[in-house]
Amino acid sequence: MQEKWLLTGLSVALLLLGTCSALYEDQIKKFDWRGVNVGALKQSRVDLNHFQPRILVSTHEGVVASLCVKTGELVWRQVLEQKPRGDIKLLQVSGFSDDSSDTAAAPMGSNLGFDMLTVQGHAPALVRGWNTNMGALEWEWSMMPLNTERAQEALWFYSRSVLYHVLPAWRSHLEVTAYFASSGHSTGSTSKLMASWISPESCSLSGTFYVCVDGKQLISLDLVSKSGQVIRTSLEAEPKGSLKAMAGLNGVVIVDGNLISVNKDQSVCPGLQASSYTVGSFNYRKILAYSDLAFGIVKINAVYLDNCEPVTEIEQSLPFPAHFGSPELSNFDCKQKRNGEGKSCLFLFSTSSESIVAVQQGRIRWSREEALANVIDSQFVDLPLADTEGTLESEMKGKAGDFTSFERDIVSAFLRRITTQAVQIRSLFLHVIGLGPPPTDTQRAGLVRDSFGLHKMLVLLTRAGKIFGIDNISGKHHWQLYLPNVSGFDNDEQMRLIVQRSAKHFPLQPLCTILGKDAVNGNGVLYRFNPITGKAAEGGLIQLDYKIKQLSLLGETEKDFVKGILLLDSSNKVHVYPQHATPLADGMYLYTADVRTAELAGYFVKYAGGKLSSTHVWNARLGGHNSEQQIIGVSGKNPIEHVHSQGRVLGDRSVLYKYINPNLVAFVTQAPDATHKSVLNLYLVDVVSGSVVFTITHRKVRAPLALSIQKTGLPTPISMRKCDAQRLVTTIELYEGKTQANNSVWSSLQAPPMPLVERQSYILPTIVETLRETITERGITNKHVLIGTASGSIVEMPWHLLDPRRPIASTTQGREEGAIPYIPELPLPTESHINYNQTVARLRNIYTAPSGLESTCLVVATGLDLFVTRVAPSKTFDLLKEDFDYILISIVLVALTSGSLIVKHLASRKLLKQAWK
Amino acid sequence: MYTIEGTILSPDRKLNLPKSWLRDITVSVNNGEFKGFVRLDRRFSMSGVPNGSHILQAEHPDIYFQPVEVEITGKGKYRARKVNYIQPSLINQKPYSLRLRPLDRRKYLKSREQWRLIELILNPMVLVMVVPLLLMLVVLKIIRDTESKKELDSLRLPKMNPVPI
Repeated sequence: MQEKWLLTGLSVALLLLGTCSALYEDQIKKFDWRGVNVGALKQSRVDLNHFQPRILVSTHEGVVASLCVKTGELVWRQVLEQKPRGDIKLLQVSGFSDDSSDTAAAPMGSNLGFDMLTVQGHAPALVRGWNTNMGALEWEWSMMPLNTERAQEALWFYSRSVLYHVLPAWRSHLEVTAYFASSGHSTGSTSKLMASWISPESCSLSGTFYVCVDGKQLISLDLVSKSGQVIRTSLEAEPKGSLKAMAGLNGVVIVDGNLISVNKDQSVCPGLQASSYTVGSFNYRKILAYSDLAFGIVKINAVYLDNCEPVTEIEQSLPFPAHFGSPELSNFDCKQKRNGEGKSCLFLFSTSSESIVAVQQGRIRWSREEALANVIDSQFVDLPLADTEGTLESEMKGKAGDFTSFERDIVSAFLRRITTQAVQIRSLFLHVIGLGPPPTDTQRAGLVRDSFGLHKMLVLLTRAGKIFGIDNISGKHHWQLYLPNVSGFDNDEQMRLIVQRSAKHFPLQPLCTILGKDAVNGNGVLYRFNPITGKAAEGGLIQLDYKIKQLSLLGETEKDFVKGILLLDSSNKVHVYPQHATPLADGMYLYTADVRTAELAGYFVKYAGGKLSSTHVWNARLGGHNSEQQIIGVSGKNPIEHVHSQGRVLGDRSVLYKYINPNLVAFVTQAPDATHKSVLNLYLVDVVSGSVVFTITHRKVRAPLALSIQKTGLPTPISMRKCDAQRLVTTIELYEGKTQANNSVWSSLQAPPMPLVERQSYILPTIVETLRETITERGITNKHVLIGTASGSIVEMPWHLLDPRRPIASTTQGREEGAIPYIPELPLPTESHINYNQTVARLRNIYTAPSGLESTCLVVATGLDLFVTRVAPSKTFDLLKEDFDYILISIVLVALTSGSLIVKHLASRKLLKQAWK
Repeated sequence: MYTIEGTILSPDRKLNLPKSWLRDITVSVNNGEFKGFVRLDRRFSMSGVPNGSHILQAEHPDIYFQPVEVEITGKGKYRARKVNYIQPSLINQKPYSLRLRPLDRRKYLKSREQWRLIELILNPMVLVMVVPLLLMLVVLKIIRDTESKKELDSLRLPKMNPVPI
């Protein structure tokens, strides 16, 4: 049995060797680039006085890293576990004199010492000590709380080489346990501190003090002191905002921008008011730095902590670009060698748009765009044509469709052609003598369409509401936009990025739209912008007065080539944006799916008498008999995909027609099950008629699940994990049969025949995070499936390996069809890893887009990192090879031509001589 | 909750690894749900893992490690075995605590075919064509040489012979 598998495996391996499209050594970073991110800043430590100046950071994405002070590049990075296990609760760096609680850290190098420690997760809580120079782990211990549910709210603090675990029991007491930081040994029993005044929304931990707001006063408790005395501090007014702890000052809290100390040993300077504070040292004295943003200008000020005098050397103000959002001073440090100068101080800001900004000497030294760690949508947008090509293009388009007036227009068309060419010649001449018009901004930035359409603008929408325009070849950020107060929709739906008009309609500019929800009132928000320049266009930000429930794209209007957006609001009314596209919505179907209840609903949109109306036409409940099932995945077909072949030729030369239903959507539901651990259902639903075309059930399976659906015959690879050990990929292909019911138009309403279903499951030796099929301009190129694995690799898998028609027994029919015999395990050869060793940490999604070349497909993979490349599933058949030897070919050509000329000459001379004889 | 422990064995000199290679290894179970980082003494541990069967994989962008299936029983006994997806019943025990060996460098890239004279000459097609040609030439020359010598000899012989008196 095993030999047989070995044999078939070998044959497949041989086959793969033939089709593998590995990169050549010299192609590294030629077509691809990777952006490495850490995520939004949580805690940071700037350290300029270390022998190796660095910035240590912990982030909301569960990453600890060290950044280079000069450039902001990563020195090292460690990506911790996924949340909730990887949620960083505390970052403690030893050897910081400004930290009053840190004086007793054990010396470096000893077993008890540590460079940096992190506390993460709650059940279990993991405490790790790191070597900050190398980024290597030094020690690790874990703690499992008795009550895992309550442990979510646990807090940690560090004081004198002891780590304290604080577990609040709301309105009752606090449980404090102390551990030796680097060994994890408990120093004694857990102490219970009675505190009936604690509540989840009003408390904070500042150093060793647990502080709560109670009306017009602060109630606090020193968790380290033995007396356990409750301290009450009265406030001038009842605080409006929540309490924030002031890092670095024991027992100091920030209430509405003011500093208030509850610790009698720690005095604060009165009368300060700022949005963010941080403590550091300057000229060997402790100072308090604070910053504020007003009218686009950030002001940084500081006072000495001991006498509250302002530190004039540090004061600075600088303009702050709007796309960063509002800044928060995270940490700073000054070089201590240069006495009396504030120039050597580096201030680190985290901003509301999830950027990390470093400020030095009144200007921005560098910034990191960490919003890119959470990309939620992406589009490749064609670049605009160069002006001269544009006029040619518009002429070619002319009125080509208008055949009746074509004859009449022939003279004017000829004239127009002549004039455009004259203009071209003139502009060429002017360009040569250097008198041409100055290039536009986009041209100067190199943003002009190339002849193969490989150079595009990559527009990325991030969860923080920041939008980026990135060059897909160089990786340069051309523009950034920040939409504050816009968030994702209800029902776990993210914001959407839609291309309303592509760059094909010269001289009209391309148009993109972002759809989201207003974070304040929950109504829909539209933001329309030009994806090439990043500037607001056609109205910019539009606040809608209804909530968006579903959206769909309409066809192009004839007037301005804008694709309208059809919106369904929460009261099931339909709207179209822009309004002049409204007639196109007539006869549209919409569906909605509620993730939690697994209920689907279908709507029909009618346009009559200048009014749009929607009718509820069908309903489907996928929740199961006890409504436990929840939707965990929805996937529809890609609207830009072309169906290249309608059927598949079988061994006996008959054609098996594909089931080409454009309205098919796959829904996957999951529910826990008593006997099978977990049950997963896949439904293929025709969303026009609401009929369930096919269902499949997998038992003992659980997420992560990746789903990809294709229009061509609808093969659906799904990947999931069975039990604990096996990882499955299931493919389903639907066929109509040997005849086609209607080969010109598909109608879901005329009761189409139920499809024949081919399915097959394969084992993959890795966990699949995401699946995406390649897509090309015309759909002629072979289909490959891009598999994003949990370890961050992207593997290109030919479709014929996932083919559900791979025969189990080697039959002649299968061989005639060109199907490879079935083997259960799919190989993942390293040659087909398209991102070679540039792994994408926490890979979440892969997006593909066609390029101007039929052979090539553009790919962007997003996760914590960003990876952009291109793939050629059938190799670059329409492109000359890269190592094509132009010189050799031209030498050979020249030699042949000149040779033939010389020989001709010689031959004629010889003939002449012979004639004379 | 249990702790999986193990060691990364020292790499072969041939792998030619940079100093920081240990830092870049993450040992992960179930899609990074549980992770272990390798300490400077090459040990790793992964705490808070529930009982059950887990596939543990040491991941490094450039080096391949074989995955190991670790089974933790309800009583806290550990067993390690080779991963076999096709026949999970086939048990191939491995020692616990885990010892993971860096096997080889992952080969992601093809090397470009270069035009080399030696390779061209050693190409069998070229050999088949060129060797007989050369042989023919050489043989011809030898034959010619011998013939011309003979001719010379036959010419010289009468000259060299002293005239008998």
